[in-house]
Amino acid sequence: MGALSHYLETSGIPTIGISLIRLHTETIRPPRALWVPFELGRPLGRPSQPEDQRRLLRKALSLLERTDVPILEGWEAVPVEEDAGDLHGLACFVPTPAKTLRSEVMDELARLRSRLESEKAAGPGLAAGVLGIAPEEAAKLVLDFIDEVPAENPRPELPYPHVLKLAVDDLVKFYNSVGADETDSAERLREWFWRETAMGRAAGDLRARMLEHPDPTYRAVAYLVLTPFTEAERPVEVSGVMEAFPHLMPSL
Amino acid sequence: MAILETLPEPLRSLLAGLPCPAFETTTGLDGPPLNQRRIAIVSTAGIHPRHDRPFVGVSTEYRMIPGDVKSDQIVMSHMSVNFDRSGFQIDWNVAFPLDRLRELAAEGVIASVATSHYSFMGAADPAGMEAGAREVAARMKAEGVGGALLVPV
Repeated sequence: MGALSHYLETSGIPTIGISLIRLHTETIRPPRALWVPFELGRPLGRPSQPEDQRRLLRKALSLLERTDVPILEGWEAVPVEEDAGDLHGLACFVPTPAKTLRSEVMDELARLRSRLESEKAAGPGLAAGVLGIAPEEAAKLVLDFIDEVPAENPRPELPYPHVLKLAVDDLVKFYNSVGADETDSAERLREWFWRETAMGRAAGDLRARMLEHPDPTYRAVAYLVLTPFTEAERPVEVSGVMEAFPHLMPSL
Repeated sequence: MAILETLPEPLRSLLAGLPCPAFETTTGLDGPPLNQRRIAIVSTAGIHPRHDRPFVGVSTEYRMIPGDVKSDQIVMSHMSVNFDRSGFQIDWNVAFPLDRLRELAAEGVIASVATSHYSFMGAADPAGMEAGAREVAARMKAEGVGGALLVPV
C-alpha cells in the first residue's frame, strides 16, 4: 500500500493512505498515512457505523493538505464490545452415522437459505460471490472434488484449483451473510464457519484432498489460500509458505 | 486488532519479515484546500465489478471500479484468506468507503467524488504494481482527481 502511495504521488497525484501494519508504513515512509488499530480487512473499523467512518475519513483526508512528509499519524478507536450472537442456533454440525457429509452440507445449506430468504429482503447480489453460481452449486464443486466425482468447470477461463478456492470463498460469504443477522464479530463468524458447520468441515476435507494432488498449484492453493492459517488442520509453517508461494500462479 | 504483535503465527512472522521496498525520498505534493479536491479511492482489497475478471494467483494487475457502482455489484477475489471479509460483506464502506465519500462531498468537506476508482491486490509484489499505478495516476489526472485515498485490507 505504501509503495502505491509513492508511485501515485511521484506521478502527480497527492495521496493519503490508511495503515494497518504500522511497521510496514514506518519502513516504506509513504507521504501521508493514518495508522488505525483495526483488524486486517476492516480498515475503517466496525461495519455499519457511518459516523465513526466519517470521522476517520475527515481526519485522514485532512492530512492531504500537508506537505511536511512523510506523515504518520495514529487514530484512536472508540472501544466497542462485540456481541457474539447465537450462531449455534443457525447451524451446529454434529455428524450422524446415517448421513453422508454431502447430505449434511446440502441440508445445512437448505436451512440457511430458507432463513436468508425469509428474514432478509435479499438484494440480488447480497449473498452472491465471485463465481456467479448458487451456493448449492459451489458446495457441489467442493463435494465432487472430495468424492472424486468429475465436475464441469463453471468458469473455464479460470484454472480449476483457483475455482475451488473461489467456491470456498463464495460459500464463506454466503454463511457470513446469514450469520451477520446474529453478529458482526469477524472472529465469531470465522470460528462458526470453519469449526461448527458441515460446510466448514467439507472445506477442510477439500484442503486435505488438494494437498495430496500431484499438481503443485492445487497443493499451493490448498496450503496457502483456501483456509485461514488459524483454521488449517495441518499447521502452516513459514518455510512451507515460501516453498508453495511460487506455485500459486498456474501455468496457463 | 491489526497490531502486529497480536496477530497469530505464522501470519505475524510472515508480515514482520515481508521485504518492504525502499524509497530514498518521499515526495509530498502541494495542492488546493480539501474542499476543492476531487477524491478517488485506491483499494488493495482485490475488489472489482462482478462481471470483471477475478484476480488469480499473485496478480499485480488493477481493476477499475465505476463511481456509480452499487454495493451488490462488487466482489472480492483477493488471494489471501488471512484477513476479515465479513466486515466488507456486511458494509462495503469498511474497505471501500464510497458512500462515506459521497456524504463528505454533499457536506462540502471534499469537492467531489471521482468517476472511477481502482483496486489492486495487496498480496502481490509492490514493484510489479508500479507500471499499473502510474497508469492509474494518468487516468486520475485526466479526470481532475486532486487526492487519492488508499485503503488496504
